[in-house]
Amino acid sequence: MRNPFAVRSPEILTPEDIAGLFDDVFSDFPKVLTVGHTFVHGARGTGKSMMLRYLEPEVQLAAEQVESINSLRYFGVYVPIRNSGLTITEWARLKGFSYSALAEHLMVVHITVKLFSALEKLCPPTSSGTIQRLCTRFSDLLSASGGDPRGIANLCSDDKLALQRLADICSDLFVQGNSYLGRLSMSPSGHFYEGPLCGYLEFLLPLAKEAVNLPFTPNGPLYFLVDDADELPIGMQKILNTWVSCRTTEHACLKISTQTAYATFQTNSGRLIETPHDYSEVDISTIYTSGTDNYYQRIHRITSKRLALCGIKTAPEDFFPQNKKQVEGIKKIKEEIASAWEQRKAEGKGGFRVSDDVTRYAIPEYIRRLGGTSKSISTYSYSGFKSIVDISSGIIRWFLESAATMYSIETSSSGGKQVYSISHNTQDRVLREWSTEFFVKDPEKMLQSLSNGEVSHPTKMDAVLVTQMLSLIDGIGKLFKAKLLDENASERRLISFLISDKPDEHLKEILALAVRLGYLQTGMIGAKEGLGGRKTRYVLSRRLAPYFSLDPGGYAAYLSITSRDLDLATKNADEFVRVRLKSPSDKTQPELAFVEAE
Amino acid sequence: MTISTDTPLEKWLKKNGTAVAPCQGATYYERYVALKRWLGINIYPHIGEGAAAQDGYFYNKHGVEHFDCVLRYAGHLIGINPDEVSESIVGLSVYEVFLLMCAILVHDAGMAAGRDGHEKRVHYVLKQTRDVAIPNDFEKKIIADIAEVHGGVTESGDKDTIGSKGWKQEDEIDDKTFRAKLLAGIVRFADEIGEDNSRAASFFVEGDSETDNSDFRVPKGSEVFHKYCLSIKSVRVVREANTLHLSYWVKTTDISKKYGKIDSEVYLLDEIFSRLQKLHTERLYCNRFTTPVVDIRRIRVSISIVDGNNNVLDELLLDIEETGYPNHDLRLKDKNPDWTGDAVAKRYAPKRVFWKRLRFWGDKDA
Repeated sequence: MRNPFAVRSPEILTPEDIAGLFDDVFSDFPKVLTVGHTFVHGARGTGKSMMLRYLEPEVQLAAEQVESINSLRYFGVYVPIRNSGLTITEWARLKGFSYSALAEHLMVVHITVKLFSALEKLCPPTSSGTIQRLCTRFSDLLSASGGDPRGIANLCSDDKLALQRLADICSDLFVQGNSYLGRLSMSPSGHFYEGPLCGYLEFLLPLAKEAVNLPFTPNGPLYFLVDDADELPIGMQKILNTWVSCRTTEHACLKISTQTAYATFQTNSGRLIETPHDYSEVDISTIYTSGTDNYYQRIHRITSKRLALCGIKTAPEDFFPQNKKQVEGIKKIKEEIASAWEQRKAEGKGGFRVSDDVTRYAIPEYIRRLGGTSKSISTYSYSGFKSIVDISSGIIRWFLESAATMYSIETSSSGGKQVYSISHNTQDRVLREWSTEFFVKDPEKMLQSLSNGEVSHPTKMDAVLVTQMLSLIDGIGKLFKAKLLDENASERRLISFLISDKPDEHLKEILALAVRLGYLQTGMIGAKEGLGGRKTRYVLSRRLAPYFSLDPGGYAAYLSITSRDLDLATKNADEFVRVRLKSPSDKTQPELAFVEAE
Repeated sequence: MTISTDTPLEKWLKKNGTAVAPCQGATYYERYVALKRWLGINIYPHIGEGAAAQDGYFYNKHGVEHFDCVLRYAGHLIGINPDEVSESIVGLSVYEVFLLMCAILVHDAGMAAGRDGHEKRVHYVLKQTRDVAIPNDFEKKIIADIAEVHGGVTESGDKDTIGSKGWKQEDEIDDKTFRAKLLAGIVRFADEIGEDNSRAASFFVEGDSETDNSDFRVPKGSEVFHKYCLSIKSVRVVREANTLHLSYWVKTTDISKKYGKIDSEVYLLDEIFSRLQKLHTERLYCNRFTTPVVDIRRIRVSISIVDGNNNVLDELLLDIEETGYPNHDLRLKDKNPDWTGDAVAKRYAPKRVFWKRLRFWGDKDA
């Protein structure tokens, strides 16, 4: 029985799979489709790779977005960076011009392999002689780049075979370049590189111009869909930025996805590329944390589609039902709050409307009462489709992974019979384990690999920094929990904070690490103090809500914290909580009293 | 073919380029001479006939004399004093001088296969030299790139070939630093001023007035190029005054005739003005990259009309430099016609609704 929520890497999905699974999001991200260079930022699992692959011609055809290839307004070529061989550690042996020349050459050749492979897929089986000009041009360009063009101009009359051969030639060039790096690591001196050195402007761009003129390609510029560009070493990121700074969008555009860890926007010459002059920018994480309704609708469509593909005709809300007993319990508390509102208003404590108090206090009060004499806060149920959507924190993969696990467990419990809903017990069990895994087990693995000396990323990360970051998150989570359980607090549903003063570089580094690893997400907010402007709001990942027993729902208020207190949190989470709870100036901004900047 | 190495720049490198390049067992000077010797045997002798065969034009000379000429002017530009070569202090490192000279040696090597796109064939030519002088392919590439941008346009048709390379201000190969933009600017400007009367095929242009065999004539489309070269009397760089001095002698026999230029005809004096305009533009462009090492701020020109005995009959003196208040008309309105005030006002004007006159019973047609 197929798991409707199974997560497979987008790189290995067929065009038909992608067409079937993809939820069209381009109304949220129209810039990705327009002519021009674009950066698409988003945490891992937010759907960037699926979005890029959806732009490939074969997928567009499978999704019936167009009737024929020639109707497409761009020619998307998918270029994954992960597992490309571009991110090897031997690059450290080269520097200066040698580094930039060879690095650019390998990047260009890697992309050219993908280009020829894409052309080969589009080429009609009976095509013959139509790529002669492309072969000749490739031969001339390779020769001008110092390569050996023998035999290329007249490969063979079968176009598909010829394109396959061209892709193989480029693969060989890539291996040749990488081999040089390998020899260099074994014997640092005495090796000269011998081979072509192809560049973006003098090799790839002219080739792109020929490719889009072929009769079987789309009518529009090439879109090089570079996936996970932050996996590239910093030197290669600068090379990519240099390409972005070139005014080449009439013939070739770069659509670059990153996981918010892109290290630099400098070019090789030291210039900065900037938006909107050089490129446009989309941040999926920000859009889906600030526009929760959009995300909810999107997950709803994806879930409905996936269930339908497996023949399960159940609405998502019914497939992931809530805990009815808890729903009833919360309903009673809502009624209590509503009836007590008049009196609270008279005492100067109530919200502007009765619904304000109900929204603010019903769930916190329910959780607090669970923790009363029975000490059963951990029995709070996170079941329900909306709750799972909230906990997934704008990251589609998180929703799918937890849903897939729930489905597997439920199927196993049902003795292999078809499952039409997931029990709330299974939902809770999976969500709590998944939350604990995120905050406890994943960091343990990370610290283990750091202590083994494994280099995991071009940007800086060490065990001390990770430990301090985890302490900070622990402190924030516990503080929010304490606030939630405090029946005298005016705001109890806290999930985000603002830094009231200017953090130092070390704290910024810790916060950036937390964002990159997904423990925090960021948004901008208009500052109410001083001269205004904008400040960064840090939102605790809702995936941590089950671990810290927080309410994941809604778009809750934020807490204003000083950098000094945050610094304390990085060293001692419990002390941070004690200090904050004692502080009389504990500033909390109420939920409905601000306007989001974005 | 005997290759000489007696330009001031070559003498300077002979004295100063005695360091042995890492892993290569030869000094910079030795490598340079090896490269020039290879080109002298395999490329230079064939540039003229190769280009003519490809393009059908009788080009001015592109043999070793041209490359030596550009070397001479490059030496002047960076401060080599021909009379005191050894004591000359230049604003470049020895390695940079080596790269500069190699780039000059190959900058027109691609002409052997025709003029169009010749600058993009330099890398291919260098690859054919194998280990003769530059065994390191990274070095071959940087030399080729510096040489390539001396002319032509980028893939997108932009003449800013140096700027489009995206080079760092300063880079390195094997711990030797160099400034690619600076070197490229020097090559380009030296090539631009490296025209003098030695490049013209004077016999084929001047001929023998008595026999005047039209078989021994430069093809019509190439006439003005040779005439122009012949009219150059002197080119002199005066670094202390940041000035380039150019003097032309135009014979009275040449002033009233029009000479063939590709598909049209022009007066020699008009061609001189056209070249001066280009030279001024190139000076502005190259200065962007070469200042402060090479900083030419003025072109001082004298154009003399001379008779058959070289007596000066008339003279025009010009100082070509930036003066007065800048006038760089960006033509923003022309380039963005949809964004002029008028266009935008019309685009966003509130829509007017025209009411149709209602027809009633009894209305008569107008």
